[in-house]
Amino acid sequence: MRTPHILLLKQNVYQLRDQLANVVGPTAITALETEINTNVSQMFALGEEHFNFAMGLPRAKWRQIVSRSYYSAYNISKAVRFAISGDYSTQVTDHSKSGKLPNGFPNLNMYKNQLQVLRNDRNLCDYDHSADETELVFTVQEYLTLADSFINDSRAFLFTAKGITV
Amino acid sequence: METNQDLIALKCAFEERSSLSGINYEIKERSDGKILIMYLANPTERFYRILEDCLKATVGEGEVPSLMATLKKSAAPNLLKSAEGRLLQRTLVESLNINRHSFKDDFFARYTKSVSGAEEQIVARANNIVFGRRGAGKSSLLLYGSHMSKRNMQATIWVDMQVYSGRQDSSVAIDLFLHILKEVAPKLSASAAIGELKSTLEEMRLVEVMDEVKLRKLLPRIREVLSEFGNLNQTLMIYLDDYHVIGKAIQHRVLDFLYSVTRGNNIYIKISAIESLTQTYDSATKAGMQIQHDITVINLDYNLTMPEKATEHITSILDAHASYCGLPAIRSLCTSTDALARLVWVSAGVPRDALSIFSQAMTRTALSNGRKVSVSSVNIASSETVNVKMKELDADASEDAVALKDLFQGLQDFALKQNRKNAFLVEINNNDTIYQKIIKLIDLRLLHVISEGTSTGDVGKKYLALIIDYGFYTGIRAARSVDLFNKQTKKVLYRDLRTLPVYAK
Repeated sequence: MRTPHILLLKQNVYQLRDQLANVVGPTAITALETEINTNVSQMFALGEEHFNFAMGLPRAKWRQIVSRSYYSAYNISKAVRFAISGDYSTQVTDHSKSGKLPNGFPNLNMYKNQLQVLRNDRNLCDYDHSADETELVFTVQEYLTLADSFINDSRAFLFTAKGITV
Repeated sequence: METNQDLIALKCAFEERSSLSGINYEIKERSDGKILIMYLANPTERFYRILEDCLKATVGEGEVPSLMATLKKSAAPNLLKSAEGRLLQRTLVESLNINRHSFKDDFFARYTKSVSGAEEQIVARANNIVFGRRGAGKSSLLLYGSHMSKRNMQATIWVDMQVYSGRQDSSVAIDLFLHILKEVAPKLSASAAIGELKSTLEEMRLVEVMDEVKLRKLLPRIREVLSEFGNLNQTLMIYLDDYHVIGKAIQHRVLDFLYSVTRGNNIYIKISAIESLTQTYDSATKAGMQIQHDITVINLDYNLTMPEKATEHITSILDAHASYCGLPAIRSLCTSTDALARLVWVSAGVPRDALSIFSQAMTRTALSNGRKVSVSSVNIASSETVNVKMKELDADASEDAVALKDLFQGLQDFALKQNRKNAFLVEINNNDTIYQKIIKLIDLRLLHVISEGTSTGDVGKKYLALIIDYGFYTGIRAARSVDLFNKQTKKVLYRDLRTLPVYAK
């Protein structure tokens, strides 16, 4: 991430906005909010890019399809969590939070469970040279369907919860 | 490191919480550990939530579960015999008798809204009476209102009028006041006044013939105690379920007492009842609650005059139950859509009858190793409901059960034996006692309306088109010689109605 960047402040962006409210005028606050929403859109777009890449891969590339499906879901989750809480992290531990979606997110428990399973299978695909496709918990097609529905539900949720169109 | 025993214990916990027993599962062993995979025909969010709760229960507060488990979509070869199918059968049976404890936390997940939007009316701050035949969903609608009231922090009182069934004395009003005061006592500050009122009412209850004048003198005091709801801008909702079971002659008088303390006090009365067995107001004495003025009617009948609406409603109720049990749409349990169409026709659009018949059809099909519910299994199941309906006739219309049974037998002879048809016409004449009894037989679901107004060519005469309940001549009582009206359960045609025999006493 190139400096200067709002996310490099390593600060919850909504807390930052609220604390600056008495220092800067409403125009600056609006600019800050626009910047936040732009970052949400960019994170979301990255997730979609991973998904589109996965969709274009030949079926035989099952490891890559699962891996890209995971990164698609992870970035989409990151966009949703950032949009709602204002928290952003580049730490590796953030991967364990992909299923920690905000209250009110549709099928919250289903996504929490399945994104965790997808993460485990992503590790299998990326790091276990001895694994074969039958070891996957869900099929390649099921993972693509999961990522697709997660993108759609997230898009609808961001619009309803924050008025963000992605 | 997790063991197979740990994962099997997790599966058992899931089965217990979800009420699914004997689900299909596998334990997958991989380089990164073992994972429990449980197979359901339709794993909805409800099941993932249960799984999440089970996983959390394996660790302490704030810890991350080490066990891995998930749910996968996969239908058993015979859904009727699967864990999900068995749960559906149990669920359908449980839903036949709704009471205030039914479904508890799952109520909104299990409840299916009416096609007519009656839910908006039942939650309104107004007096309502819900009319419909037995099993039309009156109690369910009242329960929906009660759950919504609680959600909206309103005080609620639920009275199951079955306790007062057959009572002909208006001292039922005393019992109701005692019930209400007991329920509201913890919510109100005037505990001493409530205690005094309760003592007085208890004394009055012991007297054989109720002193109405004495009760009337008490009403201002009861009203004053309850006025706290209005003064604090709080709301009390009183639900009277199955109001028709008390004697018809006292119904308006009991309501008169009740209404005199609730009116203008932020207290609203919600009643469920069978219309032809209910009298809310007496115009001669001006006592009771007058329909449209004091209390608004919510009609819940989807009869066979609107088969499409009835089908839509019944299918959505069955779908909601199926989804709750981890099954896909109810259609997947049937050989064809004809089975559902027939179900609606034999149940005459009454939801509870449809659930009961479908449950029995499932049992029969499973016992004969069938995989899907068919038209014939629906027919057979419907004939098994006849005895229940005859018992309900005794319970709901105890005052004139014998006369109604005689008339019904006469109608069966006329239609099935003399005319070899299951449908007939009867002239609409509200002043005719036979016609009034026929209306009661409709409310008791022994006869079903297929057209609310048709003519045969006689000027000025309108006829009601009716069919006799299917259970009396199909399935185990199959009468092959009877010409079944609208056998294909399509939209009823006017020209077919005109050919039906006219019943005249």
